[in-house]
Amino acid sequence: MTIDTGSLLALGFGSPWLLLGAALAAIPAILHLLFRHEHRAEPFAANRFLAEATRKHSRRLRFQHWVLLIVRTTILLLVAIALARPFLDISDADISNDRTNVHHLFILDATLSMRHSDRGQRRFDRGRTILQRTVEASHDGDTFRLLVIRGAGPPVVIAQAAGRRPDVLAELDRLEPTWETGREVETLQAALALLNTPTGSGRDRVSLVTDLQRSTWTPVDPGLRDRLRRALSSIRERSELVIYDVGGPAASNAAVVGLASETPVAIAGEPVTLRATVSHFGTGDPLQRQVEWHVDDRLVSRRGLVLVAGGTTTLDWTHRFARAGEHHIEVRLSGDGLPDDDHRHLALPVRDRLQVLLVGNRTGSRPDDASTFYVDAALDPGGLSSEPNSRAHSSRIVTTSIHGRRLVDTDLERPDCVVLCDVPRLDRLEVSRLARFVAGGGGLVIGLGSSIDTEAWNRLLGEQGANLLPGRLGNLVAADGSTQAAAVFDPAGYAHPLLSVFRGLDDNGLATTVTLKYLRAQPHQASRVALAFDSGDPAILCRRFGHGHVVLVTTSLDARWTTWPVLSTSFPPMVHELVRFATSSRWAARNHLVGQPITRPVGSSTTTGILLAPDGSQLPIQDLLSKNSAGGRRVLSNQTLMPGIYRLSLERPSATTESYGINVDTSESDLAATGGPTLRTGLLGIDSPIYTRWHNADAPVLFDQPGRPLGRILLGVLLGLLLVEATMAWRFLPGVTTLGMLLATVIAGWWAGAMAGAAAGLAVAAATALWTRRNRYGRHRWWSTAGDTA
Amino acid sequence: MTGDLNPATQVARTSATSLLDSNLQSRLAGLSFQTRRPLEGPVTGRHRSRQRGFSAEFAEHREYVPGDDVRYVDWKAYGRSDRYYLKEFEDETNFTCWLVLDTSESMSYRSGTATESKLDHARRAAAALAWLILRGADAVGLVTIAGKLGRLVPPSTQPSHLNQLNRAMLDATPAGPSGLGAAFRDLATRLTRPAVVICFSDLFDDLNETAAGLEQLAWRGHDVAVLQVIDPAEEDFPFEEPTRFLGMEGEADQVVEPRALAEAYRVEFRRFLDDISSRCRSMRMDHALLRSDVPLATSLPRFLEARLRHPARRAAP
Repeated sequence: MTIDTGSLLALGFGSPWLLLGAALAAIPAILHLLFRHEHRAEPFAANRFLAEATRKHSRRLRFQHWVLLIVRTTILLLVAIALARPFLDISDADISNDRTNVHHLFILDATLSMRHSDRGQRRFDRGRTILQRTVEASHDGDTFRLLVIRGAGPPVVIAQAAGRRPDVLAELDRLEPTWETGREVETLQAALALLNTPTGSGRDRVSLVTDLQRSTWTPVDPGLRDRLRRALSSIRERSELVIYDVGGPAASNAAVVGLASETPVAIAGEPVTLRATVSHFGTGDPLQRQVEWHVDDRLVSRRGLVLVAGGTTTLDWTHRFARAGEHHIEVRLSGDGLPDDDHRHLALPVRDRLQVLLVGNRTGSRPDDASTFYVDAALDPGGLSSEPNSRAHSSRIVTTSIHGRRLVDTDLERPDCVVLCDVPRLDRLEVSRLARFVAGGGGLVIGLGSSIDTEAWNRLLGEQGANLLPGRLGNLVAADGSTQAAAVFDPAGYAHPLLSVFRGLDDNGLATTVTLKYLRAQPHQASRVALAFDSGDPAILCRRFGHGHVVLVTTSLDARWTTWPVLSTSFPPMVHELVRFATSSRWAARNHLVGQPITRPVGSSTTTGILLAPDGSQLPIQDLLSKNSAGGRRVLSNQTLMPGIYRLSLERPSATTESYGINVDTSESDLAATGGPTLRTGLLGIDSPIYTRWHNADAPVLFDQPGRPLGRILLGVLLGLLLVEATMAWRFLPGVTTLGMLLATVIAGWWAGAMAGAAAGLAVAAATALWTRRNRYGRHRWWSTAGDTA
Repeated sequence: MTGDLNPATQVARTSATSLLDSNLQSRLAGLSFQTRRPLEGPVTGRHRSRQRGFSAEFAEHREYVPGDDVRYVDWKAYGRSDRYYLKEFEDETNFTCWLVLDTSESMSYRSGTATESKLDHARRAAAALAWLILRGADAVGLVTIAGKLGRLVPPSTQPSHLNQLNRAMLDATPAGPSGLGAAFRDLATRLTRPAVVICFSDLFDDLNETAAGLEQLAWRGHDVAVLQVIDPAEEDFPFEEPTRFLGMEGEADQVVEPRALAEAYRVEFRRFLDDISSRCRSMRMDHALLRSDVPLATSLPRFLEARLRHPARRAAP
């Protein structure tokens, strides 16, 4: 609540309802009326002199009583006012008398939620106007620094205190809200660092302009909340902190919070299931929206949708892509106040076939001697070719089998999945290439066998090496003569997605598969056991690595350690599921959030190309080339500051164009705001003098100057008045003196600072002491004379 | 032993005796009560008399008239002048002292800081002076005042008279207003011979009336001394809490915040004391304050010594 008292002062209260406590001020008067007839009775012989004294001094006594009553009433009034957390706005007229220079430090929130429009004006524009008006109303000698809360880019815009107002206004004009989430803590710490930089005389005033979004300012993470609290408290202790709330009343907002392909690898002609997730952030009535599906900027579907407040709706849509290549899917929601989160992009490469590279270690007289034979047969059971190592079939999966020795020469950009079947060992280069392949979204399936050099695998692919392995390989577990089997599978309820195809099928053959040998594996922390043996040892382990997946089968994928490929009907579907799972995030690297980098490994011959942003701007590849930690070359772009489809075109050695979908982080879509009291109690403590105001876009500007918190001043005055009351009740004159001392302290402190206030108070106290001393000596002489007379 | 077995009488005697304490008696033993002006007395004593007598100090001659004592005829003068003259001498006579005790209601006041009421303090002071005066073979009488003249005990020089005086003082119960002015005037008309008049009162009455009464006494030749008895609380006003002060002689009650009014009250009271003192001085009267918290062994000797120090005063014109 703000009480506008004209052009000079505006008194506001953080907790206006506590002003009801002002009724307590009537207590002294009520007590006086109730108990005025209740006095101790005392016979007194010299009553005539009391009557005479009362008659002569009745006016003075009445005046003293009134003063005392006013002091007591004021004390209670001040208690109520202080509890209501008052603050004082000072207009230009008043500020003009304040000759102290002000170092303004502006912190402007430029995150996605500040793009929300209300009656044609964005929150960001409203906040910018506040700062522009502040600059315009400033005085010569005032200086300005500017910080912006945003995701990418440095928070400090004007680091050196600028005194030229046109420059500051121009800098403010150039600012635009981003599509990013913010780094509030870092920005506040940067502001604190600037405050700690000496700028000469004057006082610091920090103006924080934000929409006080709840998810930002009162985060769930207690550690982050604590860091925010500490940063704000430090700023408040160091300066006069004013928070401008430009968010206003809570606004409902709908957003497309997710868009993904449910089909791991989209293949031309095959149905691809796309799933969009739409949320309604708010507490109001259900929202009616139109949802449109666009493929390659062409509308392919439109439907109505009712969104329940606080609810999330999932929309599935199946589409067949006629041709392979780069495709772009977009879901659009009919607009609201924040249109930037109403559409979402998905860059989806569509393949004509899934490429699987099978790497084995043996060739023999019989086809099934090869360690890749059964996997190959499972992926393409009907495929026959005169060329045993490279076959093309009508199947949607194309397999290529190579010997382990040729892995180092094989192009890993083509396959979507690599299956290692009993490969004895890999050298560092092969491991490095495989790691890069998986990190880029490729799938890796590892089958073991008798040829495995356990020590080499653990060293090169384990935690001390490339960290590709989901678990550390241990000793061999083999069946003894009596049991005929080392272990059988324990599906454990088919809980893992890998086993979902077997769920509900009683005779799936998985539980009856006999495993003769396997290597005991110790899962890593990031790994998950998809299937275990009945002995409790893992049979299949999975883990994420970069954008891709690694799957480890602890037994062989041929018939040497298990009867699985030969006798179990579960082997072919399991191999399909292994490849499907391993490639499920094949294109995850193609879709990011705003601010996340686009990364793509490139060969040494790649030197030219461009990155085309959604707004049509181009970045040459030469500016984006860098080396990764393993020494390989890559394209790295951090300039994903705008949502949409980015197109990366490489011209050498072959002309290719890849699409990347960049979307906004919908954590900014919940526009619920942190109320002022919540902000104070949650971030700054109950005694914080910070206040918030929302400035209606249609209302006249009232924010020329921020206010001064009065809580501490009132507390000081309150303590002083308590002292005045106690002294005045004892002796009126000393009480008046104390009151004078208090007033001198407050007035001098208000105008000239705490030291001047203390000096004024001490001066009044000293003068009073001198006067009292003189008066007391006089009184002694008077009594002495009387004594002589007696 | 008198053999009086009446318990009431025994109590009265005991109380009468208790008005004097040995400490006070020993303190006053070396002092005497000195009159300030010549007085008439029934017998020869230490004090100057307004009557010419026949003592050792010659004053003047006068002619013989029948009935005069022939022992005082100056035969030498007869031989020279052939006429009978009698020698007259300055007569040293005893005096009569009237103790005037104010027994009005206000004299019963006793504050928390005092050990006795003003009346009790006045009783003991009067008893002590009576003892001192009787010891000098002078006569002492008593008059009580409470709105008007009360009980009157005729003067006597007998030492045993002290008991009668004490008993009379103890029998006087405080009641009613003071009425000092009228009582003093009444007393002045009743006292036919000049005497010493010692008033024991707080003088809480109309000051002009009181002063007029005292002036009447002085005009008729009485040696008047005013011993003003006050309670320490009346002078110091040590009260702190808001109090309803009840008037004791018909004054209106006063609801007072003592801390706020104390200074003004003290000024008023001090002005009253100063006024009394000033008026007494102008009427050649002695005035002394007897605070009931100050031992009589301290205050009475000061009063008596002051009378000894100052020369005899003449009556105010």
